[in-house]
Amino acid sequence: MRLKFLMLGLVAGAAVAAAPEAANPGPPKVLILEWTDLIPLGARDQQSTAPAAASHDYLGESGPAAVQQSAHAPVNTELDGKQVKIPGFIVPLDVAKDGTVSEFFLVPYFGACIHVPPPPPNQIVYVTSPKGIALDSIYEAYWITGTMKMQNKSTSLGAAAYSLSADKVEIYKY
Amino acid sequence: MSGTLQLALRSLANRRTTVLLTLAAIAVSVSLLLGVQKLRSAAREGFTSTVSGVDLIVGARSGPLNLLLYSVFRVGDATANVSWDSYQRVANHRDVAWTIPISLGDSHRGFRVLGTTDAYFQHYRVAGGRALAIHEGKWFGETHDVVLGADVAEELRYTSGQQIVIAHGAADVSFTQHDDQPFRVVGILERTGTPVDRTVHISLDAIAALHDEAAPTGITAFMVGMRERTALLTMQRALNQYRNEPLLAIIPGVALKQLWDLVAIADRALMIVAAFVVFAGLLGMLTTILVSLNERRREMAILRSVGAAPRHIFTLMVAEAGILASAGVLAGIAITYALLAAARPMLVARFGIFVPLGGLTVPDGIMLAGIVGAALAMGLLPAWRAYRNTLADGLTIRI
Repeated sequence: MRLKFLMLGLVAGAAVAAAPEAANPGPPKVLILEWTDLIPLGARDQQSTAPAAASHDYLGESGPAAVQQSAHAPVNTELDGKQVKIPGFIVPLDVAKDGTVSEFFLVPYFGACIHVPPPPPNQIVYVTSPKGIALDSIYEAYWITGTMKMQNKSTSLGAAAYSLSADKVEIYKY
Repeated sequence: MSGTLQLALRSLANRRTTVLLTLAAIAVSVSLLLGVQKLRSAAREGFTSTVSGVDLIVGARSGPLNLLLYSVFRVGDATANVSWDSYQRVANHRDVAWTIPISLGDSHRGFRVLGTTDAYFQHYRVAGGRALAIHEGKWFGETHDVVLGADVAEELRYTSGQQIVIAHGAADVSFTQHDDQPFRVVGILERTGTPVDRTVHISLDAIAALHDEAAPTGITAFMVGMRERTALLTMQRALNQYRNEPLLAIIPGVALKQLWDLVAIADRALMIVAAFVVFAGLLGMLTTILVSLNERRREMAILRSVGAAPRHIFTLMVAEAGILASAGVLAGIAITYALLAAARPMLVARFGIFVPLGGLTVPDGIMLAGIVGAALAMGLLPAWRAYRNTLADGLTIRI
């Protein structure tokens, strides 16, 4: 059922995403996302979700500053403000006193840290969790449910990015 | 019920030597468990609150844990320096908001000397975003100014205006002193409960001057704050693949988590040992009660003859176990807090672990309630035996 909504949502965009709410009073529908959903439809052909190329140019080692690397990683604006649920790996950014993590990156593949080049900005979700989550292991995948927001940012990597305030965090079970 | 409880108390009072010993065994085991619990949560807090608000730590290529340890915890040493050129390239990158350079390698009477800039004071954060604060004096302004961490000032009894000499190397004693260049203490930092307290801060220029250089040619490591965190992973990757010089960039949150996972093994082992000690304490209690049953045949018989029903005897025995365990737990809590209060200054000074004396946490409470619960469950065994025996035993002479 949810999958159907997702499919519809992908095809028809915002109009359909609003429709289930009308048909289905009660709590707002949670969109279950895959990582490709974060790339706008039009850009999906040009951008594969596979790791990006080497990033030497980012620091401009080979000469003066930087041709922009994968300059455009556009975001899917239809997701702005939606309740979503998305699976991924957690890269903790700030660890609170009691050892819980309240700010982290959610990324589609583990090792987004070291072994392969990092995902482009539209494949990274910056998550804040006011309560903080007790992270058992960075090698485990989690489902994050919350409200998706677009943020305008200007970095040499892109102009916008995803951020999500998490209401619920669950361990991803295979 | 309260009658039974009173009876149980009186009966226990009558056998005070064994009872007190049993109680002591439980109290000691409980205080061990509670102490381990307190220490590990204190260690964890001290650990995770050491650095905050920093997006990347960059140093010469070694290992993530090594870099974290020497740059943040002042443990171990760097393998090489980062060239000034590479540092400048990152510091001036458009996605970088600020950088904190760190230069290590010298010491003052066993305390590590850290060469840095004003950025350290402005951007370094501890314990969930707390900024550094000056307790006395000011942050350094001139080349030969020194700002001390709280512990350094306290242990060496230094105040503002004191002249000190920096030594080469990181040991307690050094034979190559930079004594041609005395420094002057201008400020003392507020206590943070982190390695900052045990650090002597001087300017990068001072480090260069100490080593007869006109300007810094390299630094040991640096911390990076990104303008937008979106670019963080790409920056980390770019640094780790940097072709001009072997560099290593780590995200402190990730490295802290990895380091904690490592430490947590020992931590868990300690907890298991402590749990077994408590179990042994409770078994001791069970043995004592069971043994006492025999000498108390007469007591039971009298109780029965004056009208106690078998169920009264049953409750009496369970209550006895409950009272012993509860009293043991309470005494254990008292011992733990007394010991912690006494050992606190030593723990901070010797191990850098700051143990807050705050109340019991919810998990602590659950754990202690669990101990009493286990004792009550164990009490069922002697209770059952006493219940069985008491029907006929004691009134008929068998000996």
